[in-house]
Amino acid sequence: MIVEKSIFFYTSPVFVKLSDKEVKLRKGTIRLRDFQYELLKRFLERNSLDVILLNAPTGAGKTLSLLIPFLANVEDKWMYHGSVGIYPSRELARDQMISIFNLLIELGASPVDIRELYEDLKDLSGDELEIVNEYVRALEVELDDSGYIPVILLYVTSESLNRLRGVISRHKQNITSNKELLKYLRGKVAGKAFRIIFTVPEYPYLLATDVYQDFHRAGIWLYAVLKELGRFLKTVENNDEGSLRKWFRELEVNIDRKRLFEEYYTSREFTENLADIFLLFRAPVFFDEFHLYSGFSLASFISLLYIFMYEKGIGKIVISSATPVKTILVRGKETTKRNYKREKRKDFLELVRRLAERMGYIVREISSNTSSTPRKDFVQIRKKTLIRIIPVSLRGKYVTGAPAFGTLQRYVPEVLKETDWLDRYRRMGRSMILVDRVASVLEIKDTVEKLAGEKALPVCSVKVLFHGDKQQLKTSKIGIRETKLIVGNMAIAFGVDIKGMDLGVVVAKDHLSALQKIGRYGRGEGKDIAEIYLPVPFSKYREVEGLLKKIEGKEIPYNSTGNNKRSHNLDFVTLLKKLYPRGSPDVLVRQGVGVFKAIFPAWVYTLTNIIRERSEIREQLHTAKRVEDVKYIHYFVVLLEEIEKFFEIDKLERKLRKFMRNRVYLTPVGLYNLYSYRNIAGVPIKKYSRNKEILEEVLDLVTAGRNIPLIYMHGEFWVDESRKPYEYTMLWLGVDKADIEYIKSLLGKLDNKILTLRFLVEVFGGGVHLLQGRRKVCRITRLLDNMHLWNIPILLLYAGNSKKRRIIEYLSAIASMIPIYVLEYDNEQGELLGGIYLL
Amino acid sequence: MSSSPTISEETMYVKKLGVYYGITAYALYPSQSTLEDLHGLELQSYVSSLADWLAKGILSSQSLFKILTSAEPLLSPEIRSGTGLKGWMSSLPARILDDFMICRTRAYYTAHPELFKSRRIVDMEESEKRGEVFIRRYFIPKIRKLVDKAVEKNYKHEILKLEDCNKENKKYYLIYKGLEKEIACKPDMVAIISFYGKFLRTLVFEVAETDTHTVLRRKHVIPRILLYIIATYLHYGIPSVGFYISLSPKSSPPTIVFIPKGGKQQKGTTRIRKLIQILEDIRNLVLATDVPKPNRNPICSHCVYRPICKFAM
Repeated sequence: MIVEKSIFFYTSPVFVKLSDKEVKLRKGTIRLRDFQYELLKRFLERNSLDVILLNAPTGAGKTLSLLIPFLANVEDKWMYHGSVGIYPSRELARDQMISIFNLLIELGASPVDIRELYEDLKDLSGDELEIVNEYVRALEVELDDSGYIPVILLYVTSESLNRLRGVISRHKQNITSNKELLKYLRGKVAGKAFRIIFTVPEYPYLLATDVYQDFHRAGIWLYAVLKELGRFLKTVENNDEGSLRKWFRELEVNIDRKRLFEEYYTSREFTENLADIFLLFRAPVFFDEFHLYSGFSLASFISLLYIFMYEKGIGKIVISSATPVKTILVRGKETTKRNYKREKRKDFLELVRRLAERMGYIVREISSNTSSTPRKDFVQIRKKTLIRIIPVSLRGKYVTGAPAFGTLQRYVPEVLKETDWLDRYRRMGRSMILVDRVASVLEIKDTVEKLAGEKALPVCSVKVLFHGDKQQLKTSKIGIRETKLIVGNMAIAFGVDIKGMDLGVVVAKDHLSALQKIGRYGRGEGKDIAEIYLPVPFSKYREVEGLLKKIEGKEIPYNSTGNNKRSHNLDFVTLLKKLYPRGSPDVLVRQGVGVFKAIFPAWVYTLTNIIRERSEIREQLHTAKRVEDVKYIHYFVVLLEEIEKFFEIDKLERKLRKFMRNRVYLTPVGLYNLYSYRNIAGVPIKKYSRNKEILEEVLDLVTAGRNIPLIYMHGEFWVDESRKPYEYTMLWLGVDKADIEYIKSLLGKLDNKILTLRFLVEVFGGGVHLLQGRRKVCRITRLLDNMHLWNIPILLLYAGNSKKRRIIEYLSAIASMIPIYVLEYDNEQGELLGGIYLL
Repeated sequence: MSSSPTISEETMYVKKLGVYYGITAYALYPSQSTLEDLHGLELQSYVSSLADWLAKGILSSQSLFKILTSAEPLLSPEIRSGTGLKGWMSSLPARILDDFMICRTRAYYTAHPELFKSRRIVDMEESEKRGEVFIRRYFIPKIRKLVDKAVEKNYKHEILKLEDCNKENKKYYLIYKGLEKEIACKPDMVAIISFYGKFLRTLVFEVAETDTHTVLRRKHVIPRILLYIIATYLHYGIPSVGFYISLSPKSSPPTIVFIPKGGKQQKGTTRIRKLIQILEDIRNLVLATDVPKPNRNPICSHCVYRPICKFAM
């Protein structure tokens, strides 16, 4: 038996306060929750610029916030043309589109056939309509007084645009690219209706900065802009009026119509064209599930937020999160003569607040008012939940702390077998098991299918490879909503709303991800009790055993509301903090690359707009004496100042300029990849299906390497079908002993530089191997046969001291880092030499 | 008391020559003492001393270091990195640029290898061979030797990669907009160097017997060097500079370095507008069905297509 005797307790249901505000439509009325009404009040003040930090627990009704601009129109007058929901994953964006559609139907809206609405699309066949309806939905909302408001829901991601283009181009001959499709959607489809856009951050990010184009051309544009940034930073660094005026004059000349292309490889027409498409996103913005952004995407977030804040026509920006703080680690200023820098934990939202205030926004914080007992004017959002803490004795090497929680997911099959989970499942009819790794998802899926005797639906980043296209369709959120048995990881825990999922097993690596996953269960109203099994390592269990014994069999509040004090004075959220490791603060965003990613896109946006408004800006440049005199430049300097203050970096301009000059060595396509909102080290991985067809899926190389057995043949990665379909392993580079000194010296010379993978492979040479666990995949020089890998930007780190070694080991466990070790006998890992971070 | 020569003593002097095809050319001269050593040497010794001087200069010269800092990526939306996966019939040798600069008809023949076969010219082949020998026997061993002594000599620049492109048959491919065939660039040598541990540069070497004065006057090699600079940059992502090394003892300067860099006169694409024009003409030659007339007095005596050329004189 690996499972020890469990302890159980209850968490109380959660109720959220309703407001007395009702918005009436002809066929339905919606009574807003307290925090939704607060939000509506802000939206009714059309002219004030607001950044709203919305903090509400999962299930409290944050989704409906996206309809607040619409409700403001209904309440007062037509003020907003739409709203834009930005989600951390495509799955969540799609799920939210379905939720909003259903909500509008509940409110009495009537779905409209796209063919009737748009002349161009009147000849769509049934199959084509089905595809279009997946991504574009049209409704008519009948108002209480008179008339209808047409509402269009648009799901904008690369996948949706590609499929929509495939259909619409058959009827509209001139739509040959996604750019033209977006222009069409903006002009024709969303033009007259209230539009609600569901998207991921990449789209507004690329469109606002003229980077939504061919990779090579985009890279060249970025290089030209980077060069201009270098010149500008040097001017700011000089800090004298003479240099500034000189730079103003040069910029004035550079943006001259005749010089523009020669200097920046772009034109005003091109810039105006993309700005026109960007209008699609020029509506109040809702960043949902902000707490799920991490690493370099957090840096890109600052730039995107800056862009939206600059577009003052947007007016309202809502950042919603289930957690009130986002902790990151900054280096801090030098504190002693020995240049010792003390690391500090800071709340990233502090930077958001300061920047917003400097840009003329009012920062407002709105939180939901919750209770753990039924009260007047409160509505239930979570059911009472039975929590079973399952202590698990881990076999083999004694591990504690965070690594023990990582190992724990491999014991879930035993937890399922040795507890009464199966009986509970038979009684309750549905269950969902949430873990972290893809390999665990697949292993547990096999186990539950054997135990329950029915098919389970795996939901993780790997879709096509294991199940083919049919499964991909099945994993659409409608499939998830209906499936009885689900095994998934964070891909499903990203805010996806599954009603009636009341039985689960949750394994998480820290308290925040545990909270996120637990939030998927027991949603909605009802007196029935949800049940969640929480396996924890026995070592951790022993630490909190006393506390757990005190609450055994009792009910504790879900979170501390201040209005429902019990004798034991402990709430479930606080208990999770004691039960799980503390989530590590983000360490990546403070790195040189992070700061660069926070600033550079804002600069690209600045220059894009200067080019677009060339005539006006040239006049300003001609007479300007200070940065404040030139539109766009003024606020960019504010961004620099705030980033300098927040990250406590001395002489930011100088450091950034040196970083760009001496540490970034990329091809145009490599620079485009570095610029991306998130890292995109995706490679196609292939496999033969049962019908001997080739299945292919683009996966993150590091994630695939950690979970799927890979082989490398003829320049392509394939799933090794001679092994189990999943593996708990990792990718690493092994250096032959003869080459150790050479590689060490290279790593020393290239430490902290950003290079392309192709360059690195060529200088490393044939003495370095790619390994997966203890199995050689190939010599790295063979990776040159795979073109997808050539332009992946990498950050090279040399494990020159113990601190660097710790960082590399840490990032190898949690991020896109491939460590470099000495290759010992029998393919074992020897000394750690360095690591490559795939950016 | 006379001090022994140290690394701090400048071995190489730099003089700006001007802007050629949009990139800045600098002459690399040996110091007075080195010049005296080079004088009156027979060819083999000259070549060996030239390699020695050049290797030392690259690894230690302050003047060269200063001009290399200003090198930037040379970019054009029309020229992008190729794959080299299509096979030789789908690629054009970068030497077609030299051919084009000399004679349009010759470039046409080179653009259609499936139709026209070139003849062998022994002294041209031997001249090429001498370039290869210089790199393989003299230059690379000299650099390696200096790098091995780097610690004791306290050199600050370090070699990351040395590629003898002829020996390893290393090619860098480019795609030009509208040109179906990829352009295969094969310089004589490529070196990637970390200067003072601060910045990286790719040095691309082309070696020939023609003296540098003629190269600058006739400009027939410069577009190809420019193309090498672009090709290596798009391959490695590290800004490249081009070196032309003349093996002729009479050549003064012995070496020219081409540095793409900014400046008021060299903005954006204007820098390589002439190169783009040449590539455009080559694209038209690939598409053309008729053999074009030579555009000026060609040098037919050394033309590899002389036996088949109807315009040969």
